[in-house]
Amino acid sequence: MSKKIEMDAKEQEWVRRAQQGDTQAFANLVKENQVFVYNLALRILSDPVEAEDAAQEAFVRAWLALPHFRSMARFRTWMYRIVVNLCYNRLPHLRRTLAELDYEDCSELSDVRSALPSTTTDPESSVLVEERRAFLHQQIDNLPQSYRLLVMLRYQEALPYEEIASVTSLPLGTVKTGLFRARALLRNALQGYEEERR
Amino acid sequence: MKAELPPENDLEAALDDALHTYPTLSPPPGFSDRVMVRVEATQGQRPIFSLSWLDYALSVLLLVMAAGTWLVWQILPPHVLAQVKLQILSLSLVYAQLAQIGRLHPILLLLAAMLLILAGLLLAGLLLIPKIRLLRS
Repeated sequence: MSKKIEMDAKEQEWVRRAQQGDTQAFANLVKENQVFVYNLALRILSDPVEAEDAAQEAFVRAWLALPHFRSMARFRTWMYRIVVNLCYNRLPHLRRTLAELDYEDCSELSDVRSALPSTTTDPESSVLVEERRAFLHQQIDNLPQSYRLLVMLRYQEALPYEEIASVTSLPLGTVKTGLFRARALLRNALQGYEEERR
Repeated sequence: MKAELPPENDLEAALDDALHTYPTLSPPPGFSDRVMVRVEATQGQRPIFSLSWLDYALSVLLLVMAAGTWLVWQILPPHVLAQVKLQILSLSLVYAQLAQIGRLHPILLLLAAMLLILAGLLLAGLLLIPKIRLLRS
């Protein structure tokens, strides 16, 4: 926890210095956030070359807009917003698809993470769990871009729903509906996988 | 006989596990260096907050007006000063009478407030829009 607070303080200092034109401080911010930014771009765009270009452009835009950055917002969240907007520009259908998601009751969408049954003592079960995990990762790769974007922000970047809504410029209900449907698609695929396996 | 599927909870747990362990991919080597090359290339394009001549002119005008009012107040002969005070008082009385025009009173106040807000917004817009354009360019 104290490490996180220390990191936040360091990041704020880098942001402050970068706002005044210190490129070394900005280089530190790039190094600290490059994995998240590149990963998000790659998962949405599905093309390493385009993802690298988009991630680089996101950092350049951040540098240019940094004097207007309000340090109340977290730098990383701000970067996510820039990346998502760049992806919207590159994939015009992405925003449309997300905006067209109808509202659905998502009361089943839980914030609590279900725990896997322990398999450490059973090697056979461990292999099965690994296989199932690999299958599901492949299914996440195959999700429509709009759902993958929401899944990335929610589960990989661990953003709260409200922050995802802010980053993607979508209503909160749309975010929840998208995540609910993404989970439903994955659940169906998993059920099919389990049926096939038996 | 059809084999049973794992319980619903196990499926949900497997789903959660897969979502949270979805691998993070690292950028290609030298990524941050290439970003910094592009950043360095933008030197000079970065907007810097600066005051324009209009800001200085407005500040001087406001200062002159405030100083002028204070000076005039100081150098006015006592009998003129008394007349001015009397006029202000009578104006406030006229306003107080106007404010008592029965049912029109709240509407007039509302209209006056709206006009003042509108004038304020117009003035703010006139002063701020060129500045925002300047910063964005």
